[in-house]
Amino acid sequence: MDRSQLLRGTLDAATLAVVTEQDGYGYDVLRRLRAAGLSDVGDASVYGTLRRLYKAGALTSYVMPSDEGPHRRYYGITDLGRDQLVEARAAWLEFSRAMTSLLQSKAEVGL
Amino acid sequence: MSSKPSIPGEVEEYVAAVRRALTDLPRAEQDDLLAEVEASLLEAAEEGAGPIGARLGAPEQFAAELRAAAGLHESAPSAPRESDLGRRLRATRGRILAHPAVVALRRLGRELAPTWWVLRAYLAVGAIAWALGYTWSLRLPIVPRFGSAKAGLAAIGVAVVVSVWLGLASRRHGSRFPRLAAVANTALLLAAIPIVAQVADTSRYDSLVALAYTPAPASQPTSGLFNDGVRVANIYPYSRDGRLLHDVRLYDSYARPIEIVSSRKLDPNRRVVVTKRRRLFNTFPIRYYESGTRLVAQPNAAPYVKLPPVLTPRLSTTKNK
Repeated sequence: MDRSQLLRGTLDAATLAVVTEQDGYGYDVLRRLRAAGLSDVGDASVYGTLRRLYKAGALTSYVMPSDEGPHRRYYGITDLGRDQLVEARAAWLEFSRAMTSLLQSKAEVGL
Repeated sequence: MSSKPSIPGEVEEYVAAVRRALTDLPRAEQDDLLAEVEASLLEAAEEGAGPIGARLGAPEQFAAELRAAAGLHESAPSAPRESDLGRRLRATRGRILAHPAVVALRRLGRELAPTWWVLRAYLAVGAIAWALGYTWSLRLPIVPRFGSAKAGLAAIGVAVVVSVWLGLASRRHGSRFPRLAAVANTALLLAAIPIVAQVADTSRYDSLVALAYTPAPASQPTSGLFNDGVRVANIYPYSRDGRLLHDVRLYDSYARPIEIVSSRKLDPNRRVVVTKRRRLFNTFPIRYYESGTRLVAQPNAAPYVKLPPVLTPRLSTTKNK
């Protein structure tokens, strides 16, 4: 199955989850998503998603000077983002339970 | 910082290419998106993530992904290395092309394309005839005469076949020279202006066109029969002994009937002389019926002319004198 298709619908929730854990800048969020197992998430997708969530008010942002290289724009979660994450979590758990039971029962039939 | 000086340059180049694909976005939006991207790419490069192109793919593709994830609408794919104006035009074009009305129009255009193929074939033939100064058939004013109207019709037929074949080929395989095709189609569309003018002009011809074989000097009137600069409205032939003649049939030196009023603009009261097969418009004097009747009230009406007796002996017309 095309994992990028799966990612498309769930990247918002994944990004919110990562930022909730700890504020992060773009590349940092990307790295943490990959470390969590989403190895084929695209750079541009993550930067675009951060930007969209920020503009929608789910994330806040602030600039921190960096010792090496340019300033970094950090993102943190807002109340709105937290609500969104709660909703996404509930939806995902329900969805993944359904999918899991569906796919497992098929497997047991002997496919 | 990296020890390899080429890396920031590579990032800079990549970011610039991404920016080129985002030029239709507001400047602030571009700056914010790209600042994020640049900082991240620099950091990734420092970590030794490898050549940017290999890791991230083409900048245009990166930009498209960025756009999609950021929820910004898609623009037409932009080719690299374009001028700033070219990019802006392209972005505008993309926005226009994405408009639902334009999409519907384009679909309609695709369905109507075969009509255009036929029309452009005619326009191509017409443009050639017009450019070379050929005249147009009087009987079929839409047909240019290449020597004859039949040759004109044949030329149009051949052009239609070629044009439809070209249209089908480019629809099936895509045009091999899209820019050339666009220029040619536009030129043909523009050629419609003089051609329509020409056809309208030809349809309006009142009468004999003594210029059917040679193009007229631009300043001369090209239609109607003129006598000393005045348009002739009727002709009154008299015999040598001063009798007014009736239903005299006149021809020019090319054996074409001399008509001074277009049959297309015929007065319903005009008395038309007919033969078994056709109506004649070159008979003089032209006579008019009394309205609603088939009666010519004054068959001998004529402008007053004094006709002194002719002194020149009669022409001998018999063969053996």
